[in-house]
Amino acid sequence: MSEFTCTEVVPGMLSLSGELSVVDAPRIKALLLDALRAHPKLEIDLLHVTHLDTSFVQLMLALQRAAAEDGKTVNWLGYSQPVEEVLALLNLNDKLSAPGAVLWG
Amino acid sequence: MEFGNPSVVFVQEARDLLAGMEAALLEIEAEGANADRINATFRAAHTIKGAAGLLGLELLVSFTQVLESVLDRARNGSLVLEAELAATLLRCSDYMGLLVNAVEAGTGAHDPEPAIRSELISLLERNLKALGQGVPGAAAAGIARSAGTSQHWHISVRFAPTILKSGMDPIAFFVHLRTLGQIVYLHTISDGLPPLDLLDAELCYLGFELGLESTASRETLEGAFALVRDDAKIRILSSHASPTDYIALIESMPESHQRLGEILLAIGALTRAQLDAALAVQAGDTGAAVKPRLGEVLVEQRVVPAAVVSAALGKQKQAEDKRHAEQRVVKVDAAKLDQLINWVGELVIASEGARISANRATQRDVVDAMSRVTDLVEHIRDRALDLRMVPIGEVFQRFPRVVRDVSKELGKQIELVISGADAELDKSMVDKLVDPLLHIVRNAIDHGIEPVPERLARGKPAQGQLRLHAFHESGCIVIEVSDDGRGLHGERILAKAVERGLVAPNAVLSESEIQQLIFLPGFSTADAVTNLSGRGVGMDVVKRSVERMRGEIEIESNYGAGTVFRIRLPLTLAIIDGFQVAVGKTVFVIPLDTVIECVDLRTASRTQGVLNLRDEPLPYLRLRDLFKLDAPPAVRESIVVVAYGHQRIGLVVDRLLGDFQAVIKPLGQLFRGIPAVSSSTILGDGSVALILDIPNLMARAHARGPDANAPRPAGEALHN
Repeated sequence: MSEFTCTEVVPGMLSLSGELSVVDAPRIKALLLDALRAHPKLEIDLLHVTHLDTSFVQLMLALQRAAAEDGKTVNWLGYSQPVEEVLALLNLNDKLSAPGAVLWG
Repeated sequence: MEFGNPSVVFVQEARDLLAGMEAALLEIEAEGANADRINATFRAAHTIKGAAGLLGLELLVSFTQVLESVLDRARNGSLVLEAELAATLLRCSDYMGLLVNAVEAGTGAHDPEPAIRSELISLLERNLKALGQGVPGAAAAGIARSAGTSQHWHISVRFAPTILKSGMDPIAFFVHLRTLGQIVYLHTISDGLPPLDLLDAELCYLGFELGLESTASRETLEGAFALVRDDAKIRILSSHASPTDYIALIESMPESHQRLGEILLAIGALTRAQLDAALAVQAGDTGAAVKPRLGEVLVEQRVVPAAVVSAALGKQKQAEDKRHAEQRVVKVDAAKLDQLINWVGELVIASEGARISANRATQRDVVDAMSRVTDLVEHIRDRALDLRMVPIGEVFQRFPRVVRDVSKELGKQIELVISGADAELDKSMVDKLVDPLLHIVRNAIDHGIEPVPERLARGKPAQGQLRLHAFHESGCIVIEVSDDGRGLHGERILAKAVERGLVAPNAVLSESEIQQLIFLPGFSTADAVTNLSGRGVGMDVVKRSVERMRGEIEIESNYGAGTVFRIRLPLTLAIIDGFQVAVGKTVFVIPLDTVIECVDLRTASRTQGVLNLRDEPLPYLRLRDLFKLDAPPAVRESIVVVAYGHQRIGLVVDRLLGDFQAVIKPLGQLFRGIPAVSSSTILGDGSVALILDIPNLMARAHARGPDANAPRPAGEALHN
């Protein structure tokens, strides 16, 4: 069991790691919303996510949509294997465009 | 923030399924296997496995998988399920019960009985290997896809928004579906997702349309959603579904018809031509006051003949009805029910108060309105109490297994006959009834029914008979446990009682009184078991638990022929219809269903504690004397004749006040010492009235005769 953590690597660049589940969903949502309001461009790294549930998938979709409506962009920088598996299962790879380059190891 | 625990739902479901499985296995063991019984067993195991898989209960999943593969062989006829294997499977279901207990205790990851587990698995594997069917691992992998050809299923799922809060994750369901077949497409519908700032991150807004290639049956697929089927919208269409089935599906889902139509098109469920034609008409029709529904549109366009649509919709309706029939049983947390009953109780008291005020106000319209309200409240009370009533079969269903196990252990042959299983009683009593009944049944098998040689010597059939019977009788439920065993030996019991100082050496007791002695506390000792016919074990405990439910227990035994234990319990513990009587200013309530009639005291002649009522003797009690009330004697007294079981007594009171709904409240400290009072209630005007304990009064009047009317010191409490 690894707790959810969020690090702002540099302004506008977040790294989420651990378990992204409904238990922390309200907190994660608040974090994402604040970040989106503060920056014209968001970059989010999900390389160290160990587990995610539907609540986080919803947040990814909603964040991306909110950004598009404000003329902002969200880039997903890297998906861990659990993230990739869930997005593949739910057939959301096209909507939540897969990361172009892996920046973090 | 509240997160429900899905394992609570699981534990309950699993226990129900295990009970069903056990019942089917016992039938198989006793009467042989048939398709229904095997299928019932298989389905139970399969559903448990599926639900356990969703919750990640590895121990349960892996064990059930092996069990399931054996059952699957039995199902397709390649394995004969005879009594010996059924006995093994019964042990498997016991072990699964232990695992479920562990889940409940929060130790689901820890195997409670590793030794039993490995023994059972090797027994099961032996059955598989005998068929040359390979190791269970391999068998298990293929098990979900049972024999049959693969077919295409379309599944639409809209989970309840609160599913995440209840601790379940839609993703887990799809991961599980993947074990049943191949997901050929899955479309996540995010139309319902609100803007990020308005989104409640704990709710689920996504919908799912997916296609599955699977050999699994509809039942299996429905079973995969067993944990959420009450709250979720789930449609499962087979490849044989007609376009109209899809139309019904479209209409049942929250998205717009057009949008969902497009999705189904993308999936390939409907052809472009069919959909375009239908949608075109819909779009062109915007001027019309009422938009035709998609089904009608398709008919107008002659895509499908009208008859087909209506037939298909009718079919859909039937399917719906069937589904509703299956859902007729709703599980409700018992605590919620109790809260409801409490509030209904308060409502009853309040409306009784309002009725009295209305009567005082003597305004006709108010009185009329109030009487209507009282009527409705009464209905609500009855329905609310009904909710707590469950058939006693819930208790009885455990006994086939108990009887089988105990008689096997003792080498006795016993037939169990159950009747009256649909007689109902209060849920709260069902749970408390199990232990006393278990005790009596074990005792009957152990000590009552003789071993085979002894039975044969007495000219009885080798197989003993044990009967569980229940029925309703004047306001109570009667539960009988009877056996055709050796019965009680009165003389020996009396001797033992005298030896233990429970009875005076020169006491003269009737046969029936002697038999009741076995319920005395000091009577039950290990020593008594061997010397007497052995009925003594813990019977005082049984009696006490029955009395705690305001019930009574009696025994009727014929030496050599058998014994009947009879438990009499009130139907409910919460609210009763009462009959109010008064002595001076003190009001008493008598449970209405015990009241037979009311008679003017002057019409009956009396002698020494016994009235003569229409030439029949009737023991009676004067409440005035019993409770030592020193109110001035009334000019005209009345007798209320009450019955409980088959006994009757008369109660002498000053005035009759009429019917009244009594919400039963526990007795306050002040009244604890009064034996003839069962509980208290609150009258409409807010004052307290005592509810008489009729069984207790009965015993008093019958046992003591004349001096029953002697004042009791505890009655002092009633002086104000």
